[in-house]
Amino acid sequence: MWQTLQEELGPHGLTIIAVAIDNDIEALREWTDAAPGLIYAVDREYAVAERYGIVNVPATVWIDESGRIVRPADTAMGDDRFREFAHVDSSVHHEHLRKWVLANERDVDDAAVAELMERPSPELQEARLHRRIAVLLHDRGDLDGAREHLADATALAPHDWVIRRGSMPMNDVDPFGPEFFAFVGEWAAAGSPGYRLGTGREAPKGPEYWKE
Amino acid sequence: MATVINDVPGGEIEHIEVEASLGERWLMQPDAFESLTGWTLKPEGMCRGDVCAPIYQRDAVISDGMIDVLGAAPVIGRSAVVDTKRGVAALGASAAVRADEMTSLQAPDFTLNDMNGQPVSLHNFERRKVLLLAWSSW
Repeated sequence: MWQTLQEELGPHGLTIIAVAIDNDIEALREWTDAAPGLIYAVDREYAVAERYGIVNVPATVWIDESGRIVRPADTAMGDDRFREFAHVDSSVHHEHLRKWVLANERDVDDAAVAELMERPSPELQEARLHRRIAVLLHDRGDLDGAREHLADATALAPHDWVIRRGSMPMNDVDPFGPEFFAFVGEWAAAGSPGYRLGTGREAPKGPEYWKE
Repeated sequence: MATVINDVPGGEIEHIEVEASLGERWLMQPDAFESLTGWTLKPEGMCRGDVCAPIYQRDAVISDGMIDVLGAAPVIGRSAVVDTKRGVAALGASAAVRADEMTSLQAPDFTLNDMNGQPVSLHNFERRKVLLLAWSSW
């Protein structure tokens, strides 16, 4: 649980900024009310997501006291509620985090950070712009227009979770439903592109990994 | 009037109302384009300060003295999507520019609103170790 980590490591200099990669503030409120001890920010337009190479959530990026990125974006679970599905042991990230906060020990060096930051393709940049237009149109009540642009975004970046799964609510699709599992199958068949650090990963990422 | 969602280089995302001619193409007067992007059309190409970027495909960039935003974007290192039917466009960083920024390992500053509409900026947390947690409701 992130709030527990904040309470534990806050006195040792850590601040968690929980950035919601989301345009639905009311859907977020259920979560923020349940964990009021964190600093929250809402990235409606995927601006921070783009600048930090966020291609899936939940993920963490670590920034040191001089404003340098010391650990690139990578999947990080608060706890093990999705361990069976995601095959990620959440405690591995948190152990690395403690070592960094308490003893300034890094598990990823600068050269590795530079290599592992997810650089976008021109198609992903275009997809992000389509999504921004979709959010604006959705805000204006033009749902057809929003969905047209979301379709363009997902066609351009079909394997980016933030684009593909992130568009499901505006498309009135259950992000835990059959379309999601279809997407996961496609993504696995495409070689599971995305974060490469693999913190706490428990199994090799072949298509069998994601069987329902 | 039309709306441009402008991902300002080195800054935040702004929504700007612009004068544009919207038909098959999203066309803007050169001074309106300069006001939006900071780039000026000159005989040498698209210029900003001392830098001029050559225009290789004039037809894609200029139409009857007006600037085609979609055509001009790659010339000035940006990506663009235009929806002339709905009068909304988005301008962002090109993939090359974004990739280049990631090489420095400096964490880009940002300002976003919290759940109560109050601003939260990364620079307010200098001298702390920051864990940026990306999460969502979906």
